Amino acid sequence: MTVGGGFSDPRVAFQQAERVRRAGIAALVVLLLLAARFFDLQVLHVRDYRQRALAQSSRAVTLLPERGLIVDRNGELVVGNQPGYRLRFYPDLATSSAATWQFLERHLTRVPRDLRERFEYAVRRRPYRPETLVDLLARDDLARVAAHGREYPELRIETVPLRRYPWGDLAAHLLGYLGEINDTELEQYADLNLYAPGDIIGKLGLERQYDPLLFGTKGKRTFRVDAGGRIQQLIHEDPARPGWNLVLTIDLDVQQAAEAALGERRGAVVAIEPNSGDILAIVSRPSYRPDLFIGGISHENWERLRSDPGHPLEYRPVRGQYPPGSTFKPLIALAALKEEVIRPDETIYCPGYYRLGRRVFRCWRPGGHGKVDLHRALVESCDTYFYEVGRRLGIERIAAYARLFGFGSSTGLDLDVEKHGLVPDPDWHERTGRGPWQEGDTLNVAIGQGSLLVTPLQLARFYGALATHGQLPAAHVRHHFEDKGRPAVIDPPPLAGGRTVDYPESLYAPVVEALEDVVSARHGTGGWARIRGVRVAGKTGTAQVVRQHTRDQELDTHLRDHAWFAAWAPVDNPRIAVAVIVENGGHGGSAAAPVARKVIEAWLDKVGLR
Amino acid sequence: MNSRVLIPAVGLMMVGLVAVYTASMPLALTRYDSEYYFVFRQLLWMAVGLVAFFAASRFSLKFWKMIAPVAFLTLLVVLGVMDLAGIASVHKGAGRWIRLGPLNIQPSEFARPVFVLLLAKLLSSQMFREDRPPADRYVTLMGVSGLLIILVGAQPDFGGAVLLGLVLLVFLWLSGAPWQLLTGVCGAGAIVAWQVIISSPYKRGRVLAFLDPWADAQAYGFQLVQSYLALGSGGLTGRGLGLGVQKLFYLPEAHTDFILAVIGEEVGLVGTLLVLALTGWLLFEIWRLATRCTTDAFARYVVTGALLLFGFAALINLAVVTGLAPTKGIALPFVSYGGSTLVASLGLLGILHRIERDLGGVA
Repeated sequence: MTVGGGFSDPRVAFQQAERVRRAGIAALVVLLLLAARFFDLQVLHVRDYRQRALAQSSRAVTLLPERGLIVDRNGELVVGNQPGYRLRFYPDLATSSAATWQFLERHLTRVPRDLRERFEYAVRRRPYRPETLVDLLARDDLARVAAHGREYPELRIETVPLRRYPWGDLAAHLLGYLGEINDTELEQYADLNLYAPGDIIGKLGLERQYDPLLFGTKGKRTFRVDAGGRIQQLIHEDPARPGWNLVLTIDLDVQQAAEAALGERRGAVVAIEPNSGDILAIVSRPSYRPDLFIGGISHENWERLRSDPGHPLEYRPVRGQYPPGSTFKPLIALAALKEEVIRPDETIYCPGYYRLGRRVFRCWRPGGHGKVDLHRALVESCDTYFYEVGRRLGIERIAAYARLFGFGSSTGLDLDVEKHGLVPDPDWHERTGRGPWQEGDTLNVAIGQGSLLVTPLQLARFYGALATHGQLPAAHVRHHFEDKGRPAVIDPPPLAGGRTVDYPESLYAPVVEALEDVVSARHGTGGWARIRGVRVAGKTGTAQVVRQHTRDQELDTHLRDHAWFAAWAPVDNPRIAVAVIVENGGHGGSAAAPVARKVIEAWLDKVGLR
Repeated sequence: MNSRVLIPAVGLMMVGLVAVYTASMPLALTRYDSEYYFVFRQLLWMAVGLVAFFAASRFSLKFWKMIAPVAFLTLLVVLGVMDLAGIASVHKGAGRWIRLGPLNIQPSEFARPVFVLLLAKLLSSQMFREDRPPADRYVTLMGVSGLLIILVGAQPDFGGAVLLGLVLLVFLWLSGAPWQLLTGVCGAGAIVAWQVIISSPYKRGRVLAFLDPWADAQAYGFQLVQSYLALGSGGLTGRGLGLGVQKLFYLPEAHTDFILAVIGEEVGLVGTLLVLALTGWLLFEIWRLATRCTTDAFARYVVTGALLLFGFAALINLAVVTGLAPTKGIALPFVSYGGSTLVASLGLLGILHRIERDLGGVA
């Protein structure tokens, strides 16, 4: 068959056939090279390319864990959770920030005062970092943004875990509150690898102290997205693990009794279980409602709290430092017995004052107590007796015993805000530019005045040590964490260790007997703390606010003395030690002792001892 | 049907059908609301192509030789008009297509078989007898070839023009053209290519991106990087058919020029080697047919031309997908989505089938 021209020249035909063959071989070689290239790309580099492809085509959404609850020692809810919504702004997703702002102006009604600043800050300073515009969206605003905000991908409504406080302002200072994490905190917690900008964390109190445990572990939902960012499918879900529940040592009933007993008065109550150091109630009044802080406190509310003359933000039981007044006398008595500067039955004459050189130190009873021994001195709180004993002891020994029983240092409380009070000594006096220590200073300290300062918590713990003949456990509010089998980000930090006071067991008896009579004897100053059928021991105290020679009733309320009462019960089987201070409350016996009584009753009712 | 060249082509088309379906699914759903939009059209074009195949095989080789100049002139007119309209038109790239009812036709695709037929006719004609001086022989040839290549390139179909240029070059070599001509063509091609590349920032960017795609992964390098990611994440056996990620608008031209990347991602090395093997088989069958054409120069040139067209197209496509050549826009024969290519290719195969039949029994 020949169609058209054949090959005229066999040589050409041969050459062509040869060249076609060569072309075929070349093609074969090329195909093999391509196969090698495929092998190289697909098999040798598969891991790298897969990773890169995954990185560009997946989007992770963080799942926020439910925050751990805070419950009292019986499991009663103290702080719960509720869902809330906030408005976040992603500046890099905005096509026109002016349009976004217009939208916000049109649709939001209840906004933070600094909305404009927040917005501009995000646009100008941090174009790649989302900013919270509204911490807590009002219900109407939420509906409006949800309905009209579809064209604004830069605005996102995000659920935030919010706290719920079923008991109002109860223990507000202890519990603390939440807020958005700031740059300092981000840095501080960087090692935990737990937080991201925008997270809501504990800002104060226990919420802050135990945040990494309460916070839980975030989860992650990874979606496959197309090049336009639209979600295609769920690839992987790593669920968030809720935070651990914090079980407090606090007993809600005791706490409520204490809060109610103090009422509208300013002051503090600390109730502690003497053997374990468990804090059963810890009250600071006036208080504030922690829900004011939900979604960020408003400027007005913050100013109101700050400028309130009652200082509601002050955490009195652990940060309030007061002269202990006569509640300190049992310590002087213990020191004196051990140092043998006086025998229990030795009497000192009280004419109503004590003369030291040219200075006169007054007893609280102008007419004097007459001849008093240790027992009567404590029961009737004779100042003259303790002036003399204090002088005999000297400040160095007083300071040493005060420190031995836990004054002037941390009680080990698992809340880092604790203040340590002040146990003065000559060293301190000179160091701080107060000049040389005078014997008169010693006399003031001997009756719990002068520059001696204690916190209500330290005092309660001291009375616990009296009750237990020397047990000085670390005070704590954390009973335990309920882990429910979930691993924690960090282990709960160990609680501080307690100690036993190195003081002879037998020497407690005279002091303890006297303190029981303070409450039960006819002339005792603490009769208001008497409980039928329960042996209560305690001591009243009055901390001077101003040096005075006037009667309290004639003074302005805020210049009146602070009223103290510290006690424990039952005397022979101590289950609770309490310290109460009522600021400017006047006399400890009438102002503070009834509060202590109610707290003790609440607890003894609970443990079935009344 | 007893056609050795058709069988591997059908194999490639089957692979292509599955690949087009999976690769085009996201686009089809998004743009046309039906995942079958592209695969349905491809199927339709296959039917048309098979009709073209059998129709082409019914006409004698003599007819094809006769019709070649007519087809060439028709094509010249069509492309010329389109180029002029394209220059006048504001729409970019609109010049490549002609709308025929629901179907779009790309005439520059048909330029390929027509070009092969024309060159085969010229090279096997009396004019090319050995005793004629080279200048006589090659002037017409170079003239018509240059004209067609320029018109195709102006469509714009740069890849198509390169393809035709390569076919021309090899044909010249096979016809025993003097080396001066060969180097001259090479030189001219290089200069034209260089001019085209530096004249357009778009093409320049593509070439530069080819040299280092990662440096420019968000713009010009994007396509190549995405192709790497697709192929590379396939591994030995792939993510699984339909489970590819890159086609979710990351990889541009997923169902057309870069369809092999999708195959590589979803079916892995197994898939790419299967395509490579089928292509190799097809080229082998065509090559064998070429070696059997010992008596008829026209037939031999036609078969060799088909070999070059499919071979170079496949080579360029695969090289582009694997980052061995800059992006040009050449479909993978019989696999990529595209009606005109398919019909033109199957038509050419039909002519080869005729030659097969004419040669009689299998060697």
